[in-house]
Amino acid sequence: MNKEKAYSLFFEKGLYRIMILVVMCVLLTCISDSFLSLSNIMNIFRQASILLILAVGATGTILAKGIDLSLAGVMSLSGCVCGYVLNAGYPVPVAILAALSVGIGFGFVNGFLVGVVKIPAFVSTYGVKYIANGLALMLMGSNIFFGFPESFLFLGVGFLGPVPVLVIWALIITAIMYVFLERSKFGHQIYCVGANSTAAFYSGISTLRTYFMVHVISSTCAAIAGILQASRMNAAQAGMGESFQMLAVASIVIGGTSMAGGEGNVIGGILGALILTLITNGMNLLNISSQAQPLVTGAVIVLAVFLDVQMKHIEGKKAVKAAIA
Amino acid sequence: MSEIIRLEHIWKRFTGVTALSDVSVSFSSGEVHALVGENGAGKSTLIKVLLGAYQPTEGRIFYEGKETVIESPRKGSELGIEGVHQELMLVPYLSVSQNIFLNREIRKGKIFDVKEMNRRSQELLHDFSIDIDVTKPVKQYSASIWKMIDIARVINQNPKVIIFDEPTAILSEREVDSLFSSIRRLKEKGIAIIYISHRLNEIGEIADKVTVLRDGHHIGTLPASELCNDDIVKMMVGRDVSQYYSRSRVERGEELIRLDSLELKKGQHDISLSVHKGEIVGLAGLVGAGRTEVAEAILGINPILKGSITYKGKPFHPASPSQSIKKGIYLVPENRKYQGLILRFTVANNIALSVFSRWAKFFYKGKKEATVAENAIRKLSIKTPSSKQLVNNLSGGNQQKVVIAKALETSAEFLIFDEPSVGVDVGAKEEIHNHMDSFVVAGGGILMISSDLPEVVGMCDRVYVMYEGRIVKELKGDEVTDNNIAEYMLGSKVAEAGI
Ligand SMILES: Nc1ncnc2c1ncn2[C@@H]1O[C@H](COP(=O)(O)OP(=O)(O)OP(=O)(O)O)[C@@H](O)[C@H]1O
Ligand SMILES: [Mg+2]
Repeated sequence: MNKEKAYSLFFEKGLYRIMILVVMCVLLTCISDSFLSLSNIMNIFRQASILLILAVGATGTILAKGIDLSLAGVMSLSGCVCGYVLNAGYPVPVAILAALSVGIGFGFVNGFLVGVVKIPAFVSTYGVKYIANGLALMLMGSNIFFGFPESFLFLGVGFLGPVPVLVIWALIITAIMYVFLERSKFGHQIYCVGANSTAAFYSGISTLRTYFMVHVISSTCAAIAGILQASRMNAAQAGMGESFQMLAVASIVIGGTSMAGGEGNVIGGILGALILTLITNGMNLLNISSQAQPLVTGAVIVLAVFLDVQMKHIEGKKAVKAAIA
Repeated sequence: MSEIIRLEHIWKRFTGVTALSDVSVSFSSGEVHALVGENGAGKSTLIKVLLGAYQPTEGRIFYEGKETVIESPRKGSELGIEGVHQELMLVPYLSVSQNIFLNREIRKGKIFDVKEMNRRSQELLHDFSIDIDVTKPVKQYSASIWKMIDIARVINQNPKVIIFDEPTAILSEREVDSLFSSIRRLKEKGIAIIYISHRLNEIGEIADKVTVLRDGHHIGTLPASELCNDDIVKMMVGRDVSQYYSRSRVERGEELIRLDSLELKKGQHDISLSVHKGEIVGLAGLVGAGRTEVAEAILGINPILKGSITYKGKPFHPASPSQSIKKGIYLVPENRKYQGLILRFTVANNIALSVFSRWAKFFYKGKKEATVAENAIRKLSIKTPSSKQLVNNLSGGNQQKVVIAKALETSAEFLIFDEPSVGVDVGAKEEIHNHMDSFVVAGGGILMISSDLPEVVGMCDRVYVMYEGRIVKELKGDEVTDNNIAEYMLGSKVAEAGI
């Protein structure tokens, strides 16, 4: 491989994020004995799974120059609906369908607000988050539902051989999203709309359908995350998705997907989710108190985005130098 | 006349392209110095070096006698060098006066004096006979008004050097006249003017000196009085180019589209026209006459309040570009940067923009995109190192060719061209016209909006003239002349005939 190609792979394709990941692993292995244990690795993957599903699901909204700030709300509500239906004694598939319909429904609401009413996604999805949260509270009050059937718990805590079922879900959804966003014409349309929605519109790409598409996907993935979280915890309560909101957005952005739209990829989002999970895992291993953890996470997010900007800067400078040479 | 800027042995290299090689030229105060050359010859690059947007790879710049490094546009601006860029550079969501006074706001104490800025903006634009609401966002005005706003913005800064990069490409005659009188006023005030244009007639009219570039080389600088158009073309292209319009004889076919008394927004009504297969029909008019609005209504971008459209004999209700395109109707928009291209994407991405969705039910065909693009690049001789180059890095005229290539790929039956040859050189213009000609020979129909009257007269079988939102005249056959069009366009004949 020639120098130029390696260079482009490393910077433009964001390979350096893998390096960051590897460095973090090496560091954690040195600091903590238990890091490399099979149980801890499985734990990391399980922790990363739900975040991953949320992140790859919402990547489309950011590629389309929007954002989904309602995903935690939709995740909570779907998880609660699922738990509610299960507790009412209905079979597992019914509960799952009910939760998924909540997700799809909210996706249409978001798509409608962004695409038809044309309220910026930052505002509209933020409002929708409160609607979803409110509905979850009305449904649950301050109750926690638990004691779900075995067959339901299998989805979140079961194993297929040595592999946690949860991880399999994450891999399947990531693979689907990868093919959809980066290999399908619909994915390419999303990139086009994000990069210049006017030109895409004049060129015959249906921007309206694109906005519906990205939001339905994002909310559906949020609903799946809600179902799996309920299963994993064997519990559902009104605020169950809250902590995932900013982590999901941060994973995408750390993964190099630009808020300016039209630029980024799914692989980056996977790396972002893994990096964030490793940070939490590492802090637990190092016995950093849970009060101090948000501070560290926040600092790392800022650092990661800073690094990304710097890398792009260097890349730009090198390109200029190459041009001059 | 004193020299104000001198360039010595300037080189500018980009990856894979040498845009300027060893260019030495000087510019004087109180002089209009024209810069001509084919698309991609290096004109815009040269002026970006002067404006401080690009650093030369090699070479020296002397400003008012002193060697100067113009390290940034800000520095250029401080020195008194301002430019009206080839591309539309305004902020779409800011108001007209906010754009004119961007970073140069007038203050009253600590706060902006909005009233004063609005008043001054109105005054500046009034000099060009443009009376628009300066408090509205520029987004809602047409490309040519953007251009005039940009020009007003630059003049407002009282620079010593003003560079115009193809200012007239999207202006109609009347605006060109007011621009020229304002350039003459600036010249009298001792300001150095650098003027880029592909319209050679203008050069003879306004320029004192002409510098010709070809493939980044300085071919020569001569007084304008010693040159005729043919000489300039020969220097630019290195060969003779016919400057005449040629159309093949085509039988006029059946009716393709008919608009019946459309009413669009307030003041735009009685819009009736038809286009047959095998015809190129012109839509002439001043800026603001409503030509683009008609085109956008046919595409389903603007709503139609009243009236009807018949397309291929059936009633047609435009809903959105994507649906119109499926029916074979396509628009080449006037604002290529905003409506035509995704600048951050590759040439191949852009050429395939309107068609990639048709190639497969699900998958995105990257390989097919590359082959299609490479063919189009060859067919329209687009100057680019590869189909993977970002469109942003192409010269303006070559970007326009990408927009045309994109339209031709759609295999539409009815094409609307809104200012098709904006910013393309004489040779390329001829090529684009040949493509339009073969399109109608193959049975298509074209509606062409153009502010370039010779182009309208040379290319069109029939011409509709719009005046203040209405179609006031249809000109056929021998009636299609510069004079006739101009008279209806300006409204003089309209009042007379009491239409
Ligand atoms: N940023 C860039 N990166 C790479 N190539 C560039 C860049 N800017 C310009 N070029 C190339 O340099 C050459 C000269 O371009 P330039 O824009 O100066 O042409 P021009 O004479 O203004 O043409 P036009 O009449 O089409 O506007 C072109 O081949 C163009 O593709
Ligand atoms: Mg140019």
